[in-house]
Amino acid sequence: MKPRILITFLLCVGAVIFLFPFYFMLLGSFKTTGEIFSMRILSLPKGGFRLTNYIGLFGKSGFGRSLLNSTIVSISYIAIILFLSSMAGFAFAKYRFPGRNGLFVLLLASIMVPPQVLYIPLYIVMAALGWVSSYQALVLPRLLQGFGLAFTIFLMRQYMSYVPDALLDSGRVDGCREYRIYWQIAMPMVKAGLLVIGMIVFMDIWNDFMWPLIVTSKLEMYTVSLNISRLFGTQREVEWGQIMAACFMSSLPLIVIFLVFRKTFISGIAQGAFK
Amino acid sequence: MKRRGLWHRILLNKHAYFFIAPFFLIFAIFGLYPITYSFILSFFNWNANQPWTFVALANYRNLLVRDTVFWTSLWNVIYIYLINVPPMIFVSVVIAVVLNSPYQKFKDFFRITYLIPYVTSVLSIAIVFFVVFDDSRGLVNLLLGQIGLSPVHWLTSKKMSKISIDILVTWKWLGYNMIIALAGLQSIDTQVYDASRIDGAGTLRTFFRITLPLLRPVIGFQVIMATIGTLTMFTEPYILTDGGPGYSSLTLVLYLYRTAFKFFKLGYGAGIAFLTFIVILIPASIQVRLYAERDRSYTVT
Repeated sequence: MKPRILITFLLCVGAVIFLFPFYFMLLGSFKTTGEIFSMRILSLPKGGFRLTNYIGLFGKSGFGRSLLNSTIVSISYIAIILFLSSMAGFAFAKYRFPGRNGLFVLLLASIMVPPQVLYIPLYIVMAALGWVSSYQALVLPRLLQGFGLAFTIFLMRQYMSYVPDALLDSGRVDGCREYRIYWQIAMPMVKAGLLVIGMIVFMDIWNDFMWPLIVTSKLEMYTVSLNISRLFGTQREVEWGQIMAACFMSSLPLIVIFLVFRKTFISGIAQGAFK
Repeated sequence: MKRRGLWHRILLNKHAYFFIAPFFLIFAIFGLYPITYSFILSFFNWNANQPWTFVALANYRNLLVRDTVFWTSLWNVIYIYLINVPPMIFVSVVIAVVLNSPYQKFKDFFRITYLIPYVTSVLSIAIVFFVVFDDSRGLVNLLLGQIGLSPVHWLTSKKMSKISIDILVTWKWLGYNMIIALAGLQSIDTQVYDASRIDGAGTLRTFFRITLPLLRPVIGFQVIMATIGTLTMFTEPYILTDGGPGYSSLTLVLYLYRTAFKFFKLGYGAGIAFLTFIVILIPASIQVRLYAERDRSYTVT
């Protein structure tokens, strides 16, 4: 089996290349600028794993605050998406109401609009509402962008279509109201879908950059991405080690979630593409 | 009587309308309204604090006829796309075929490590690439120096800036495309391969004659997603090269961002936005059609 060994070797080279930036961020976060820009980046830090860069990062640049901001924005965004998309997905899957197909086509068509087309007027609206540098501005317009509501309703409808009708009808016979049928019968049956969508959406909102960049000006409202980009923009004054520490910390939550739920995550991507 | 029937059915399904109402409300406020606004704005000149002045099609005429920066940024995204997408998708399918083989070891390990770039923020990765591809002190050039090669101006030469962005994009998206290809492969009936082996077809022949044609819908999906992603690319050039040197790696969306949010030429920016939308309309409508087709297989009661 000689070729198999060669192939495995090549795959390992690939794995090294794909993992390298994390190795770089992690090691870099314990090093000085001089070490990062030299071959010494590849070796373990000379002075041991000192937390100087992490302390500096949390000390003056408000990184802790931006971690909090990103967390608040992400959690509220995910909660709204999961609630509204399961509700609409349930309706599109389980009711035959007049206009259903037309409305669903409209929903699909809204996926076609690239969010960047909307940024100028959205910014003007945010400014008019006094929402610049606010959580609302980071969350609400975002519901329609990227893996926003249109796409998640589309996915949720598929998960909901697997819920057996007989189960819903038996709930109706017992005198359940429709909203309780949705919440107490259908919702528990689409947990897998909620998990997949939750992860995809978390990835999308946590890493969001262009919209926060446009709609946030106050430092206290910066998200993690904005803060990193600010540190990067003032690179002459700031330690590169701190930037590496920030990059590593912003990547960590997603990587941990991915590693914990890897099976669900991978099958989610596979399904999101083709089923 | 039909009319009364319709009202009856609407009332009967009032919960359904209640369930979908939030989406359409949000769609109206944050989708329909801004896009209409943007369209109207593109026929005006509006710079920061000055009043709007109607200029009819002047923004579009300037963009299409006079503005070489616009055409450069359009060409840049096409160039970035052409260099990146065909090889990336081809390699992703090859890796998927390898990982689909029952004899391959450590499959899960490779699937997970190859997908890790997909779950990281583009921003962090772009910054690491910025450091690694630094002209004089970046690791890549230091390593090239070690084996006696002269340094490459990855980010500071017009020739290489787009290629460097391609390296980043390929690095980030290869694993994602591999997972999609793998899912496609797993849906192919293994009997097809058995039949081809009985016919005496070799590995390569099977790959080009059987696997690739059967994966066509999957590859189509990959191509569409990559097209839309590349056409709207922003963060990668913003961090890595800031569109430079010159305009050599300026993308459409980065140009839009600069025009509207750096120079506050909002009417002109809206014009760029709409032209970008038009460019994207074809791949995006194919994408939606793919979704709709897929959706048809979920028969709704």
